[in-house]
Amino acid sequence: MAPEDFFITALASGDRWRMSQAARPQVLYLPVKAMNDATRLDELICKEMPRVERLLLRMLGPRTDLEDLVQNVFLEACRALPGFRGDSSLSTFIGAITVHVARRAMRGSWWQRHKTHLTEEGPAHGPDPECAVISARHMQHIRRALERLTPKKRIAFCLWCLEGMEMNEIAALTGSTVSATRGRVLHAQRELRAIAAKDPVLREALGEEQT
Amino acid sequence: MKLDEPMRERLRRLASTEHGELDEAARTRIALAARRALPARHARTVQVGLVLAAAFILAVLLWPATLEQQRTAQPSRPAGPVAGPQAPVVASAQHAACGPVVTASWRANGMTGGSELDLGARALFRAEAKAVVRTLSLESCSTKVVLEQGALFVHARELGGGALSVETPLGLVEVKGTRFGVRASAHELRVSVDEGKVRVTPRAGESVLLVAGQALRLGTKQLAKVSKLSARLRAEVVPAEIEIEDEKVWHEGTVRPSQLPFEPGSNLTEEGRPMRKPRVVNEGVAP
Repeated sequence: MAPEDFFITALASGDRWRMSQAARPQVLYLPVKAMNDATRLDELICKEMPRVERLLLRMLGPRTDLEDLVQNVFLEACRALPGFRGDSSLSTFIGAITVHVARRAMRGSWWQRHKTHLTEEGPAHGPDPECAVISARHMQHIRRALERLTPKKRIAFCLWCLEGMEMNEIAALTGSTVSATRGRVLHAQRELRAIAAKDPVLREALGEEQT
Repeated sequence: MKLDEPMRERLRRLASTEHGELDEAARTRIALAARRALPARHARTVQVGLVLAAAFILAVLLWPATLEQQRTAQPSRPAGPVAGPQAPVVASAQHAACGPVVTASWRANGMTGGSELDLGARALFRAEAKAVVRTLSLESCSTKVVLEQGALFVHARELGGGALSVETPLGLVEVKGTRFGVRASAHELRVSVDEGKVRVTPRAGESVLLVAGQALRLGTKQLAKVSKLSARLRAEVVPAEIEIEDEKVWHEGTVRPSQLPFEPGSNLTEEGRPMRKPRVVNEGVAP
């Protein structure tokens, strides 16, 4: 199997594939070739798009511009892939770009932040509509509380708590150390509790007892 | 403070109820947008490659011309200077665009003690004994002689549209169909024009066009000084012994000795040597 085929296969399979130091200079141009192939690109998009959507949804909540953000992620990936050194898996690479795009979306103006929120409640999913409405109301309060956190804490907490990722995975996506990530999550947890002390719905959502 | 795992599980369950995924149409739109971005990247790469290739081809095409220009500006000296008639330089012309092919070499002139380069119908160079002169080019369209030091008499007979020039340490003397003399040293350049026009281009400074009856003196630290050609100046530039003893040239020339700006009473040179007797032009009077 040629190195290029091997690399493209690795892209398609999504296996965690680390190149040796000797193989790196030879393989640097391969992602460009892979991305220049429309079929390979389609495969990559089909495989990674659900995960990108889910990460953006967890970090930012339901937004009307989610499609634009997902598109930005893949356009940024097309631009950044020539510099991809293969230190991590392609999923981690695209995940890091997703975090970057989400962080940029969090830095938007007040108008952008409020314009992009879904103001109308969506249709209830699941067999129990009443539970779904309550869950949606809880999530609404959680989102409001999360918006009061700094982007770094918010991203770390969302990925750990809402997405269920491990600390080392979050550290790889955010480009920080595990201890720093753990510290951010702890601080976010404490700040959320402080906010929940004044918000009964949030307190109920977090499962906190009235003190 | 510990991480609250029960809260994590609870919030995770809550988040799983949150829906906002894209539909298939939106995913297709995103895939199309990403695919459209690829040709743009490819086209940009091709554009940059084309520009680089064009620049390379241009450089390759212009390189010989630049090299030729540099060679003309700073001529190489493969043969080294020739001191008098001891080491004649043999040169031959290969092209016949401006005239016949000429093969000639510097030869010792027993009468003058100097050397002589006879290019036949094209031109004649005659150098004094202590002159340091060498041939740079004898091509049919370009006759170039380098005069390092000493005196050189040049007679451009028939250049056929070509150029003839004498290069000196301080400037370039070009023939414009003329008879002129050049005396050069490391510190001074003197030019006297008997007939026609001569353009003198100093190494540093603007060129000067000399007409018949003018002389030029150029030093290393002074500007070109053009003066009226006198017999004394002419004798200083070109010794009488290296002048061409060809009465026919004088008779057929347009300049007559009587028209030369001889200074009255200056029949002796600075060295005390009597000046040459002015020749009388045969005005076509029947013998």
